[in-house]
Amino acid sequence: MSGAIIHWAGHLALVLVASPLLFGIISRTKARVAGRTGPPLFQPYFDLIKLFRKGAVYSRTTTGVFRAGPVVAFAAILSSALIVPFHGGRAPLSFQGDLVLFAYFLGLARFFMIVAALDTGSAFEGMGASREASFSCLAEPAVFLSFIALARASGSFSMSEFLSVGLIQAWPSAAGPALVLVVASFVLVLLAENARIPVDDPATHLELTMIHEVMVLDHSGPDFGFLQYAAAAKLLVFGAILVHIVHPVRSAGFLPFLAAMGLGLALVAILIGLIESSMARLRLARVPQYLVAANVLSGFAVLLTLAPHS
Amino acid sequence: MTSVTFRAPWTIPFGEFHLHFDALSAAFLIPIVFLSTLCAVYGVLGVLFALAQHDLKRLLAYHSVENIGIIALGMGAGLLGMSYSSPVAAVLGFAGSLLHVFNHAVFKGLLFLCAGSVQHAAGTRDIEKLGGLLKTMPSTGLSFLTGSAAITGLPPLNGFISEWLIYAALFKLTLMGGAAGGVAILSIVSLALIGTLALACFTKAFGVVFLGEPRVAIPTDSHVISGWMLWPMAMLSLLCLAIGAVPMAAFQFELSAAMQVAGAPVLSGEIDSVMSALSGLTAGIWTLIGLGMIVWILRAALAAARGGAAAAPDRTVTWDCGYAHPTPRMQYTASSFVQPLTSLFQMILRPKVHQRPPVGYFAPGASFESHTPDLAADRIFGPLFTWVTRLSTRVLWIQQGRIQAYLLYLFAALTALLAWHLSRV
Amino acid sequence: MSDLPHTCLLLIVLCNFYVLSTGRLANLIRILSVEGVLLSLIPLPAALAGSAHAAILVAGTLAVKGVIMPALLMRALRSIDEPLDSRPIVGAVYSLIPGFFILAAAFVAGLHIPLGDAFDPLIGGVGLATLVTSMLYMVNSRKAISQVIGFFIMENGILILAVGIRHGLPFVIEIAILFDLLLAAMIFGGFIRRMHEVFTHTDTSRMRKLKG
Repeated sequence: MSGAIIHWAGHLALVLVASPLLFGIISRTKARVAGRTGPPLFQPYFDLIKLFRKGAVYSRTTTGVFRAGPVVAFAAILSSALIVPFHGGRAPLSFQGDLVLFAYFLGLARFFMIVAALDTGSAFEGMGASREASFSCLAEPAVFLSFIALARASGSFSMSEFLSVGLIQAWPSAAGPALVLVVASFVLVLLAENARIPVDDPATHLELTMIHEVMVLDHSGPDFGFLQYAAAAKLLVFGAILVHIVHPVRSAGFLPFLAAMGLGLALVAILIGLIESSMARLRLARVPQYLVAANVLSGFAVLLTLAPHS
Repeated sequence: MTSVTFRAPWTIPFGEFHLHFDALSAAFLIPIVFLSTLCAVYGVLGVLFALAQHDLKRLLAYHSVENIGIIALGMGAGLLGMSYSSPVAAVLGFAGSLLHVFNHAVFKGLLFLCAGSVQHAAGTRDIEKLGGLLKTMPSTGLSFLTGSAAITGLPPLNGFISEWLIYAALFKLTLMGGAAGGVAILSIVSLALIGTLALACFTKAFGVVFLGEPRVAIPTDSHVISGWMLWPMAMLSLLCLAIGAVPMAAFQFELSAAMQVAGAPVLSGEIDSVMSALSGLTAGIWTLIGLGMIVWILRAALAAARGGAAAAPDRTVTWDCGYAHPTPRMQYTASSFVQPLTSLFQMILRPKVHQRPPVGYFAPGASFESHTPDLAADRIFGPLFTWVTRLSTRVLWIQQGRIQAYLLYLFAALTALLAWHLSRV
Repeated sequence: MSDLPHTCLLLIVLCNFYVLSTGRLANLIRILSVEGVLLSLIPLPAALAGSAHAAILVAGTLAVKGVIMPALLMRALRSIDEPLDSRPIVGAVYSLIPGFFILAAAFVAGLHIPLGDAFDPLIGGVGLATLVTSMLYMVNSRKAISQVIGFFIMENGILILAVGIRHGLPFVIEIAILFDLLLAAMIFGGFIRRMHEVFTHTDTSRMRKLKG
């Protein structure tokens, strides 16, 4: 019993401690590419502490839903993080079919963020909420298709299995090319779901160019802190899945695997920073095409896993 | 291999078969593929039409179309399981769709009750005219929120449990590969698409009706809502939460019925694996609830730590980018909220835009209006009902109004019956 | 090395998806040359195993499909001073989704085409899928030069199927096909230039007035 508690608490602590660092690495990478020194790597931690110490200001238009939004979103994303394995073993929450719970926890977070945005009665938040709702419709099938391809390649429908053990023998086998396509599709989905360029611009605060940034515009103090933390945790979760697909190693030790995962996550963050520095955001009318491309890539990966091989 | 105990001989509606399912799979496959595709399309179309509606009750009615699609997808999964000799998939599929029938009754009933009380209080069902009702009708609003989250299939409510069971059945079929796998994958993708479109639609419905500010100043008399209207809504909301919190009990509730429909015994080892998955699911749901409470307490602690009595947060106007006069009309309307989706699916929905652009400098006025016509009512049911009415008008002359004519009809019918009886003897 | 044909075939499928989703003609001609290079690599293992027939095929395909033909098409493109993108008749999103389903069906059907034993079973699927891609593309585009590009993608698909056919095509026929393509590229290039001179545009959807 105590072993289980340690497992759960340790997993959560890992997510909470490591996630703001990813934002720090991304900002630092972008600054370096632009020729500046950039903010300190641990700046996001200082920002979060500052936000938690502030008081909140609420709009008169808002109701209890606005106050519940950040709490539910943060709790949902932390719960989804408990389903993703981090150290080569099983995640705390793992069972056959847990990927559905994972996707729907993220959906719950999204529902409450959208509803909290609409509660402010402002055109800006409505704009962000509308875009978030529409683009997630196209991103979800891509996520499910990628997971189906991975599950067929590894023979199990539990995230702890198709992200680590099951994939090890899948890479060298005939399902290899399918996994390459899954990686490509998942990178596209990661950028879309975490509100990164080319889908959204996290650096500017112009209403016409934002999706996630504008949804959380009216939150302040600890609420905003929770939402920033939730965004960081979501990026960590998606990054961890990507690292698992690319390099499903089952190491003998807990610490070497953790170090490998940390290195992988740092590389993912640097990659995101490089992509953000080198590309511009897509026109919003082109984002559906981008998401359909992600769907097509993972759909083709599923097709390859269904086809008989020589 | 776990030890196997058969509980009953394998029986399906066509009689008793033992292990000869191969010949049947081909025969069943085409109708099942057709059924699954039809239901997937039906589900997606239902939610798309619901997205475009701005009448609250019509929106809910179109959502029922989508939920029937989900139920039928579960049945398709069950049938696929039966024809491909996977009794676990069959039982899971049927259990999921039967549970969804029950859940749908609960949350759709709840939503319609809330819509009714909204109409009663505000006098209109047009969501474009409503807004901010959560402040004046908090219980109705909270029930609608519960119903919306349930119908979208979000944990920890009941819609998620039935959808999870259907997904579980489809996953088992996917692992089998071949044609069954292909159909199952298409069903999974359609379920995912339906889920996210439902999320968009219900955030729109809840957000536009209950949140923000009233878009048109309608007198809303919330005292019209009596306790008799509120208690059923509260009961149904609690039922949604209760079913969602105990997935294993919900599955057991449907298990015997599902086994009867599937007509096959399920090995006790396989039931155990389903139960262990469900217990993991329960753990996940309770983790969510626990973490939510912890974060809430944390936030309250942070607020308390800042300063005891002066801890009431400041209230001000929503940030408005320096506009001098923010009005409720600046809020997002329902059609604007779904505009990215309706324009993406415009070949199916055909939204119409009427605009008068500003002309010249210091233009006198401009207007913009967009709406999506109700295609099913306009193109299918409207003409159908008109045709039926026209046909009925043709035979209207039978209703003469005179008693002599009716007596004549009676005697003529009696004579005809007598003649027919005599001819048969 | 035995994985090379498999990888090339998968990359060709990705090129086909790119063809369906983009409208920029210069990029399309570059993708055509990339497909040509990938095609020439498919018989490479057989060539390295000592078959002279296969070696000449590799060299010929690389020269014609990878270099000369795209160069001729680029010259034709540069000589028309028109906007370099073709607006498709059906938009990008709508062409990609049905395109994917049709490709999937062609892929599944093509897996059943009987091939030689030494060949990758994907050849049938990818060949048929490329054929279908070219048809979808030709139906969906307006400019004359995009119809030509679609025609050459169709030739790619036929060549993929020809590589895998059970007893192989006679050597003479394969070389004849390559020279055919060369001639076709030259003729089409001149034809497009002439069309531009006469009509001052090459938009085939506007040529309906020509019907009697």
